[in-house]
Amino acid sequence: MTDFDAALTTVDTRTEIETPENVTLSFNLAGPGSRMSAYLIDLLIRVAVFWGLSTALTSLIPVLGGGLPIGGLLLGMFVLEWGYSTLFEAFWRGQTPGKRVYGLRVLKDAGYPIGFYDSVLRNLLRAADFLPFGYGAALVCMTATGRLQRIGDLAAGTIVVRDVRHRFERHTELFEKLEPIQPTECSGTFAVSERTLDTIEQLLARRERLPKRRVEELAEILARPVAAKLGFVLDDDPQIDRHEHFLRRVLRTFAMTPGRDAA
Amino acid sequence: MTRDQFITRRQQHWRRFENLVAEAEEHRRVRLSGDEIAELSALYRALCFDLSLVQSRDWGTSLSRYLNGLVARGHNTLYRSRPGSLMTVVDFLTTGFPKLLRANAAYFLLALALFVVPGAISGTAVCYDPSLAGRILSGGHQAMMESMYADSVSESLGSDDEMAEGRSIMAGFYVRNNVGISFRCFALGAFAGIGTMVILVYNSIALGTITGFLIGRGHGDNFLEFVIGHGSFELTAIAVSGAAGLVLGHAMVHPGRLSRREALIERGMVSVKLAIGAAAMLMVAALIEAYWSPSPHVPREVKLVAGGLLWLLVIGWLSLAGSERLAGLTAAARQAESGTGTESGTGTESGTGTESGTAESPTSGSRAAHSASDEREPAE
Repeated sequence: MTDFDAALTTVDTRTEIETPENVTLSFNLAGPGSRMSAYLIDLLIRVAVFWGLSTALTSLIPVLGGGLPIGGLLLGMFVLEWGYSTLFEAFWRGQTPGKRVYGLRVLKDAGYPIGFYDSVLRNLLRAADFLPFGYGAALVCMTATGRLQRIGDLAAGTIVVRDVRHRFERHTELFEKLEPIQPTECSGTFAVSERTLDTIEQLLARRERLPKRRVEELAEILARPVAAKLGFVLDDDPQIDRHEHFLRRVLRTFAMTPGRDAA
Repeated sequence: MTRDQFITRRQQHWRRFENLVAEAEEHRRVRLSGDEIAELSALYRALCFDLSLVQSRDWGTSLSRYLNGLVARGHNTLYRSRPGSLMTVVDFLTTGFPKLLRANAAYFLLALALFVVPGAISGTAVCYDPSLAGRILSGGHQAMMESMYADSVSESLGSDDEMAEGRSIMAGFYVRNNVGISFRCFALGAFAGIGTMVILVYNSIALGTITGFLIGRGHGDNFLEFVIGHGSFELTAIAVSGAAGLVLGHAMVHPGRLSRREALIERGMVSVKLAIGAAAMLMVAALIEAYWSPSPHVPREVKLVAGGLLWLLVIGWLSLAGSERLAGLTAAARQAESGTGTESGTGTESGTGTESGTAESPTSGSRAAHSASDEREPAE
């Protein structure tokens, strides 16, 4: 499918890459907002480094004379202007400090790390992307391509992705001690899809970070259809976490392999 | 197998994989032992299987997101390219770059024409009628130029210390200014090559006018004495960066048998290498221009001779380094079987060049371009 077709079918910030192992990996593309923010952080860093460099070098003028310090400062400006992003992205696994703050990373469009030439190319072409002012060309180009690429990205074959580390933790302690639901308690289908169980697990995993009442509100939204499908009658027990409690029992019943104790 | 059993059974492998990848990510060069690398790659393949299983069974987003992230990190680690070394830099600058430039000679000649012809015309006109210079240069600028070149640099004023101070400042200035111009000249080629052409013609007319003006006012010999040395690297490098921009622009306008996107990626790699070569040349030029060209201790004759030699050096390096003709002198016998003729390749054909073979010593222009395009493949 070409990017154009993709853009017609879905407007999405995900992109899929097929690896040589025939697995489809999906990446979250970074949009103009986070990339601009990362750019501004980098800009601040560059200004700060320039300020530090000029202060340090001017203080050397009485010792060394004007020549070397000022020449060095001009050279430093050159490196900050053209080399900052290039060198960081080439030697710091596709990230600049700004990109790191926002969890962005530059990758080749086949999903592997960028090389030195890729980095030079995409960063030199900033001069074209910047035109007519404030990265106007980049913005137009990004909206016109399916994978949010600016001109430099197109030429270097790179994409910028959100590099979020997802963790996977089970919270069996939340339900393993509970009493399973018995088939006799239910009048409907005695099964819950793995996907629903996963959603319940994700909600319970977040319970420490949410107010108790909110957890119960969300639990109710989840619990009603699950209970309806099972044909389980939720009692009118005034207990504050009755829906949450029910969901835990659902996990205990369906998410644990029969006969297995806590792993 | 239920999701629960699956997780229980596989989780320890995922943890192990996560640790190994984290270890590998720490360093640019992988510091894992052979056994660990074998383990990593085995775990990676198993993980790929796990991910497709989770995806096909719809076992929930938290699990597939987690495994997706792990596979992505593994993919990223296992498929990264070999880190470069100092030798690759040296090889590129001594032979790789000239070969690549010759493979794209047509672009270079076009850029050269754009950079020379407008300047030659305006320069000739201004030379015969210096008053025309006012159309390009302001009066103040003209006066400054004239005072700068009124005397031979060898006899010009200024104590030695002052000169020395100014030189280092100028070295920094030339690097920032000239390399900046050449990078911009290259990058603006992304707009169908038009930006590159504008910059080449603009600079050509400006330089041509200054040259013509100074010759017309009778300061030509002082000017030549100053510019002949660094001009070799500097002027050639601007034309090279122009060629790089045109390569990029041409890929957009006329991608040939590839899609525009593919053409841009393929030719982009060539163009950026040319731009890097041009930048390296300009840094050499900046050193010459700052420390040698204005030196009052070197007599004019020496500068002219040295300047001439520098031109020969640049021309010889760009047209011969790494070439068949040069290699032929040293190892004629070994080259006998290749006999693909003299360099051709207007650049557009380079991707479709001769079959690869053992490319230890690329012999013709098109072969050179071929090996250059090979280099961009990820080292797996």
